[in-house]
Amino acid sequence: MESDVAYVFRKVLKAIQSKAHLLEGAEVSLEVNPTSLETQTLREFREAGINRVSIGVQSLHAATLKLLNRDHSVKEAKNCLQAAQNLFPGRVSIDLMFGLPHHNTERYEVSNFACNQSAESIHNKGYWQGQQYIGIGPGAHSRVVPQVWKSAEKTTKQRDADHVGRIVKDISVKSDIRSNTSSFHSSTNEIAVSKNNNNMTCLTHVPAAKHRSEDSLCISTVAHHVIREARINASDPASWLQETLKKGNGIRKTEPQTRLVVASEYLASGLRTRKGVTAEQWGVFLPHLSPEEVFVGELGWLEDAGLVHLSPEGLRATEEGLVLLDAILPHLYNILYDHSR
Amino acid sequence: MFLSPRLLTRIHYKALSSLIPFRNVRGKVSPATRWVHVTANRCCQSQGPKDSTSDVPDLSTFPLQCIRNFSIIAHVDHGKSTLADRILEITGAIKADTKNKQVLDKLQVERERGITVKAQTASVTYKYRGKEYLLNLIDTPGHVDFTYEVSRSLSACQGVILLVDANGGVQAQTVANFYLAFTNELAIIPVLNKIDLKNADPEAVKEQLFTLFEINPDDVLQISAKLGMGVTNVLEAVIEGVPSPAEKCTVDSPLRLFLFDSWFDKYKGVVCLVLVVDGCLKKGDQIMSSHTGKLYEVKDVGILAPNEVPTNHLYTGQVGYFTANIRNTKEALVGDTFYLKGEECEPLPGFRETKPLVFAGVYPMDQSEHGQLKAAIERLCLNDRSVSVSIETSSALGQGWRLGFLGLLHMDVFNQRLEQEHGAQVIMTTPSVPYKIQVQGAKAIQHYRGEEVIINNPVLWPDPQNIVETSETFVRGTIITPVTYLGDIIGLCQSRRGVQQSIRNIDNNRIIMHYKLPLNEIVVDFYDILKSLSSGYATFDYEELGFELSYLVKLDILLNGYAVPELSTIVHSSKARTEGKRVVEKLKDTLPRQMFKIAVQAAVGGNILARGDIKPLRKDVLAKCYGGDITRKMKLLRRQAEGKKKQMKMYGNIEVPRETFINLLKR
Repeated sequence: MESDVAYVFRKVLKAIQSKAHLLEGAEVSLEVNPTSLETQTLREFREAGINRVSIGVQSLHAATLKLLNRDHSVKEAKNCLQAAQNLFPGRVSIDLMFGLPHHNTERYEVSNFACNQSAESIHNKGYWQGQQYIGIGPGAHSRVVPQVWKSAEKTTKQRDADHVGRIVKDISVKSDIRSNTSSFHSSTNEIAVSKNNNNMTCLTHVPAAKHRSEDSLCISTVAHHVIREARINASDPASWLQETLKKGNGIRKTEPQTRLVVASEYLASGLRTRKGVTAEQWGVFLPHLSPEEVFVGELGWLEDAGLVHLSPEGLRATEEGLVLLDAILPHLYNILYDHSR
Repeated sequence: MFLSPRLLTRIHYKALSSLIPFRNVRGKVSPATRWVHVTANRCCQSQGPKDSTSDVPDLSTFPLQCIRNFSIIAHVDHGKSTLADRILEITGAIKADTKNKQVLDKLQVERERGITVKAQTASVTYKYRGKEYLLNLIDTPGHVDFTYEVSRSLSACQGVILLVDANGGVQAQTVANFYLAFTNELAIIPVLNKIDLKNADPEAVKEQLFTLFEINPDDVLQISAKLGMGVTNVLEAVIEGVPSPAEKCTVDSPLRLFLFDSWFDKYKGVVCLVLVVDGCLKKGDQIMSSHTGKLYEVKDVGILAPNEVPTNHLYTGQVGYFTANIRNTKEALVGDTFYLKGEECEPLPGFRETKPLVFAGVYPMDQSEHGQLKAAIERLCLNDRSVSVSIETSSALGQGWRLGFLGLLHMDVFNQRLEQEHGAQVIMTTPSVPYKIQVQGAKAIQHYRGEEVIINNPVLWPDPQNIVETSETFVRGTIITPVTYLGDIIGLCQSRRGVQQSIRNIDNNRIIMHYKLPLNEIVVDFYDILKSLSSGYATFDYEELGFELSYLVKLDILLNGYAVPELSTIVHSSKARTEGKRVVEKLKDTLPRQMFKIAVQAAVGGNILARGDIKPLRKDVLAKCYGGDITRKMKLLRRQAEGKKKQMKMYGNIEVPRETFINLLKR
């Protein structure tokens, strides 16, 4: 008899497939807790359509697991890992926690580890690049451009609140989730629907680099265009279920994200990668403003001390800078925001 | 005959005590005596005219010879309030009631601080040897912080009851107040209290009194205020021993009023307590202040019995209150003289502006609270005119004020009240004292508008090359301590540049010493250390001696060569190195590490006196990691970024957060 959870997954996946045309072989990743119970249901998950798992191991140190109040033991974690590798070969990664001194859990981070590139989670990589993703379930989060922003249904109130304008994006049913960056790139995909909004005309006439120097008002306005939403689901299962039954989804909070906000998210996450923040990816969010333009001359001692490196290709942290990233990021954040004012 | 029972005073005190939070925190004081006194009176006034018409004594029936103006000076816990209560009971001003408990004495912090608590001002009558006497018990602020005001109030009296606990003996405040009374040539009635207690040793205390004040042991009365024993003897001793005001006062001369206290009532305005030195005051009179020259019409006149009882007249030698729609307590300064319009007279002697001794910076915790804090300070200063206020801006802490107080206790009390009324925390910077500098050089003289300048804020210290000489305030400190702690205390005084002026035994166990000390050495923590060295047994008091020459320098703090002006302090040259080291160490602990090394230095002029290094951040373990929830991370990042913009002061590349300044500057 199929477990309840697997049943739910199957239904959800089926619903997604019928509405959104999942690509063949699209990554469907599940986070599991390595308790013996869940280990048993791994096979069912696979049958339901899951093709990758991320195991919440957290630690292979018994005392730490106790400190973190985890439901599993080190042995159970190892068993789960083994089982997962059998069921999802090459598509398994684990979450480990860093920075825990053994007496308090105040400052820690979780990182996801995979043993080879193909085992790396695509959606995880998406975090680092500011891509879209949908999270389902309690405590999950999403970054999406909603299917249709119905400007036709805009009330006066909405229009007033919408003083910076919006982009309407038609999610092409054939769009490739993997390369969704292209959807931001090409302006042909961006359809200005609301004729009431003067700024829209502005946008469609501003291609990547050329007209930047004109009409600075337009540029700063562009940065404040809302281009997607951040969604956070209700965090505990009971309230998540309640929300879902009530309105069809478990979303507790939706926040519109402007280009600037998305760019700042990209800045914070991209700098942690070896390539850093690339001008190319940056241009998806802020087409009118390259990283070089934002940061040139502002990095001061950060650059002098060899902590960051700025070039036409983008901004990246050096080896020395990488280890001090948390201290450097607030500075960069402020530079970005100051520039856009 | 006099007044129907008034228990309001007592009840009100009880209510007050429930309002006053008892704080055990070192250095924090409950609201002062003055505040208690004020609100007590304010509350009592609701008695109003309707009760008093039948009860008001005809003041005209008391000739000058039958008036006695006196005060009680005592260390707290020695029973001043109890005695005052008994006197009021005996004379019928209040009903004898076991509920008459001295709530005031129970103000814990005042006990800790050893300040004298105010009793009420009251006018009572007493029949002695066939004659009716009008006895005016005049209240005084008890602590030396208010020395000037004490001496002014005592000027309204002709005698004092010196009350000493037969258990505890003479304390430092007793001594201070005694000398005040003595120098004002007041009659002194020595009284020993609490003789009912087991440990009372009247003989020993009488010995102390003789040794210290040359008081004849035979003259010392022994009472128990609690049990009411011997209180009538006290009254009679007052009548016999305290002269009438006849010497100072003239009935037929034009009106002269001596103002010795005032407080603010939100309905009536300022209520003034006066002694009618000459002439007679009546409702409707047009009077003028000698000091400010302002004219007022007297709206209400009366006596305190102990609550306000309106009468229509106040006669020569009598003590009472008046109101005249005065809106600002600064217009009613203790020591001022009032006279009738058109009949200007010699002002009564020795009017002097109070001079602040101790300064502190007051800043809101957050600049957004600036407006509220401003309102709170203004409200407080309405009732406390001796606080000097000037606006000050610190680039580290924002906009604030520099307040001047008469002393440490005054400052503590103000701070306490500010926190209560303001409802939020304020940052009070380390107290500082004024310095006097003689400058040279045309430019400097122009800048400071004169050759002699008084500096309250280290930031305004002139360039060393323009300084001719520097002076600081000195005080004469009185310390009474049990012999056991003598060595430690002498060590403490010496470490604070104290010069011993006298030392002798009070009795077998206790020593009294006089030390000349620089004020800046005692304003911060001298009292607290003295108390802890002596397990609380030592008492301390001081009086100002004025400015004297001293070699003072400005100690600067540098971070990687950048000066941090907010942290500069003025120190005696002999203390520069130790103070410099202390600040450097503290900075090393509180300044957060940056991505590069920071050299912290303390310097005077160009010379580095102390130095320490703060190591740079090497590695942030979590720099590369994080899991999926970018929302949390971004929230944190946003907060950090905002914090950098608002809360950081930059010195070169060095970020100094507000907390660091607060930690270093706060008291």
